[in-house]
Amino acid sequence: MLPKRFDQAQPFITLGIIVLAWLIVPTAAKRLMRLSFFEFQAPLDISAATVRDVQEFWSLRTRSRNELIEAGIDLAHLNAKYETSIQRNAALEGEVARLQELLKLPSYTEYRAEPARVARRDFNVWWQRMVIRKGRNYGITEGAPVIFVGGVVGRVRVVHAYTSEVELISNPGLRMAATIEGDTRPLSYQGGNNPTFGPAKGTVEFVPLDVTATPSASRRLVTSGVGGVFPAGLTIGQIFRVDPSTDGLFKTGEVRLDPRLDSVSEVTVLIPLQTD
Amino acid sequence: MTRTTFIIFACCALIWACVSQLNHYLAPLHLSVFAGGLLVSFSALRLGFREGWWASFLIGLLIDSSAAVPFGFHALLFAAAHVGVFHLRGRFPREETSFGMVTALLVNLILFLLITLLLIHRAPTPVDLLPRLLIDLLVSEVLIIACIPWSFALQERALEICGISLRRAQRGLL
Repeated sequence: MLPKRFDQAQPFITLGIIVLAWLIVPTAAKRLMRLSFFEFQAPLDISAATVRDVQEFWSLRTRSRNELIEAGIDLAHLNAKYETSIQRNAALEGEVARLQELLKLPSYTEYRAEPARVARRDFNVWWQRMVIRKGRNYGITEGAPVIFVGGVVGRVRVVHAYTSEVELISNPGLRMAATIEGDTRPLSYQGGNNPTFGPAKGTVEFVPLDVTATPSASRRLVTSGVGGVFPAGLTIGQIFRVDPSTDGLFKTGEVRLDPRLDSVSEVTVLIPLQTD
Repeated sequence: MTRTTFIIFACCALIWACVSQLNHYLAPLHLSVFAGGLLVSFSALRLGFREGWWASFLIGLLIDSSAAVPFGFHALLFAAAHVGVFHLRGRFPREETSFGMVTALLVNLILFLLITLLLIHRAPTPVDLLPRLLIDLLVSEVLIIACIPWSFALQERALEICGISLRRAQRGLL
């Protein structure tokens, strides 16, 4: 029989041994376990998202025919507008290709747009992520940029069989290169703190000293295209305040992100196309 | 790992799925709830050491699988919380739901603070996090007060349905 003192300490000794054992478990084994556990709980997220879709469908069924006709007319107007934009876009793309050929410039990365529904949002104080309902089954790749109507959503962090995890631009751990609209000088954007009931914010560093921004005269922050992850010119947010940094060489600023980012239900994943 | 472990793990997975859905709906308000205490307290207070420990460890791994932390982060914290509560439970009326509530609240508070301490370096300005942390913690504790009787009843009934009686086991009848 074990002495009483040892008997009392046994749970702690067991815990210590397991912690040590966990630290030496190979990374591949941990990765396999992580994927297995995620795939185990993924059907719960998908089921809940499907139930939400059915709820939305039935709530839309309650709308009157007149409302549907009005929505149809609005859509027809939008389609006509987009048709013109598509034609203009094709002409501009042709012009860009001609100039690239003429000036021997490297061509831009081309993307395939893959729309996806949001299955779950996980915006806690420590990280900001969402799960979307498309994964390897739709050719989603890790690191692919994710956008929505208001600009950048984030980038794909992990791809699973039928779902993917997206790291949001409001995540404090996310950093990316950015520029101010109409300016080519690169800045560093980082996700910031997300106060309760307030809009999501980010921070921007290495802002040139001549740049000014106030809440009434905010500056649009866009992706720079540097690094090759995000195409250039996508909206990140609005810089609404800049202050001189402690070293006096640059300014640091605060960025207000699009409030629709918090309740987004449909996103588009930009999958880079393989070019030879 | 026994049948009890898997039953408790399944119940905790269900509770965690409910909490995840709640967080999904709270996201536009920039609110989130953390219910670690809710998941650990029943197994630490009512089950045997190994059965409860494995249940806590497995549910921690389940949370880790979709969290932005190293795999095993929550699992080891939950396992440590389980060991701590198990070590002290003999001195208290552990079968009382009210004591279960106090334990869940304290465990949740400690886990929340530990996770914050371990992840605070990610925030660009940690001081600005304080109001959000306090509100999230408060909402989480309120959720635990509201859910603990249901959570305990769910796990106890699930065990009973599967032919495992904790009350008889605790009185030495099994």
